[in-house]
Amino acid sequence: MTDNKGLILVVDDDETIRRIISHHLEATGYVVRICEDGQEAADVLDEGYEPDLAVLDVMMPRLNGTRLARMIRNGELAVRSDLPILMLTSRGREEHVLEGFEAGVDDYLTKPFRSSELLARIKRHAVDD
Amino acid sequence: MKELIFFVTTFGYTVSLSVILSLIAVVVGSLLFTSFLLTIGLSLYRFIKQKRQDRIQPKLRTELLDRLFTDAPQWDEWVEELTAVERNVAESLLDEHLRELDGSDADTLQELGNALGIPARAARQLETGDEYTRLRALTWLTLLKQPQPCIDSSFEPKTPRERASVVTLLEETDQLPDAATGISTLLDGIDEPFSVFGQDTLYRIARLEPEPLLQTASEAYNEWPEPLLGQVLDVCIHLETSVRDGELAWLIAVLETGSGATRAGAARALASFGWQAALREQAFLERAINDPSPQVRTAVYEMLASWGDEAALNALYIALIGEDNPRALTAGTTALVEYRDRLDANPEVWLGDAWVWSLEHEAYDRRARQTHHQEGQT
Repeated sequence: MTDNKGLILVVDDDETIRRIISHHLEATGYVVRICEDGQEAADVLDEGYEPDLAVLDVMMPRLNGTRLARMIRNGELAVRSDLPILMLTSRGREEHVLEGFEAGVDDYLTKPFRSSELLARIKRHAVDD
Repeated sequence: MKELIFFVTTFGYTVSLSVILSLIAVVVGSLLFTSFLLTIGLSLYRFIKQKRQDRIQPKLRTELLDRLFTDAPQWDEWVEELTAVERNVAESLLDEHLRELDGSDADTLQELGNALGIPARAARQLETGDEYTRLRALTWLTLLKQPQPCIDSSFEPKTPRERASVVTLLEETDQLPDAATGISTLLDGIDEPFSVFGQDTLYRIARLEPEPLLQTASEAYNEWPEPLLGQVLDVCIHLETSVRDGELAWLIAVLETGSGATRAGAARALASFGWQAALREQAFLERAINDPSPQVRTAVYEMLASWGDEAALNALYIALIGEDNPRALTAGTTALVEYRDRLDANPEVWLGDAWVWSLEHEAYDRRARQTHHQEGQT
């Protein structure tokens, strides 16, 4: 049995991405909570769920990742405003990276991605935190 | 009512029309009923198949991810245990995951593709399949980063979609010798427009090196159908590169002889390539600003403004004074507003309300952008 390394919130409307990330993180010892879009994640965070890090996709229905990150940083949700946020962006959409950093995300990863890189970045921000 | 009689002389006896019509109705009814049964049967079969695949997918996905993230996935061993249906599901999962993962994860997944026999099947499909099957085979080879089955086959891409798929495969696997080969594969002998994917492929290859595209276009533009020429012009517009003067002669020819849409496209392409000294010596500019189409004149005005040198701005200013189409006039004044500090005369006197409108529009646009930027920072 692996030790609990931390709570990770994964928000992505793509099922394959959700499965890959949650499977890899759970196998490494993280406890993962999945949301299918930004609004569901905002509701979960507002209900008192406190993850150690959030992985957000940019393009999502109802509420996109950039807006969700901004809500977290602005203290609009019942979660600490300095929650580490890792943004998933699509290759060729560099403007999303800039928007993400403007919204206050800590790091980003471009899809398609390497699972080892994702893990390294999560470890870095979760540990730094 | 008098009964109608139909004579069937070949067999020597008569049959009434009502009997013939009844027989036809029975035959048509039977065919419709059979078709209905086949449709229902096929739908039921697909539904059951899909349900079965959906049922086994979570288990297979977990197994696939378990093996993917271990040091020795032993795909051959796993594939041998799978039934035919499970292999289909595994293929579909492989397709999904290959599109999302990169690096060593993708390399490991590509080994699963080999274990499933996909490259060998793709090689056969390239030789014998129809266009859709060949495209599917090329997509798999691209996902698996395996160009060799395509290189070794006798398959020659003919349709725009096949051409784009082959070039993408070679480019993604670093097997494309140069941009000229890519452009040649895409455009040599082509007589149909591309899909969006094909046009994007053309753009990506032309971005590597624009000269082969411009050279090919200069030789073949007048043989291309208008939609294809429009796509090539669109690519030129977005290349954002400088080129030698001689390679633009075909664009000037299109600007003078093409249809309205292609003439406007040629003007936009010339705008994107920037200021060209040789163009000053030609009378084509004068003809362009007097083009009968307001749409083309609009593109020409924007071209002149994008060049932004004194001669171009003077030509634009003079052209706008004589412009009688309101849309073209406001498009031209909007393009000219950016250079208002460099204009000697007072444009409002000559260009009137269109100039005032463009000034206000520019001020409003600037303020809106500042407000948006400030909102983004808060």
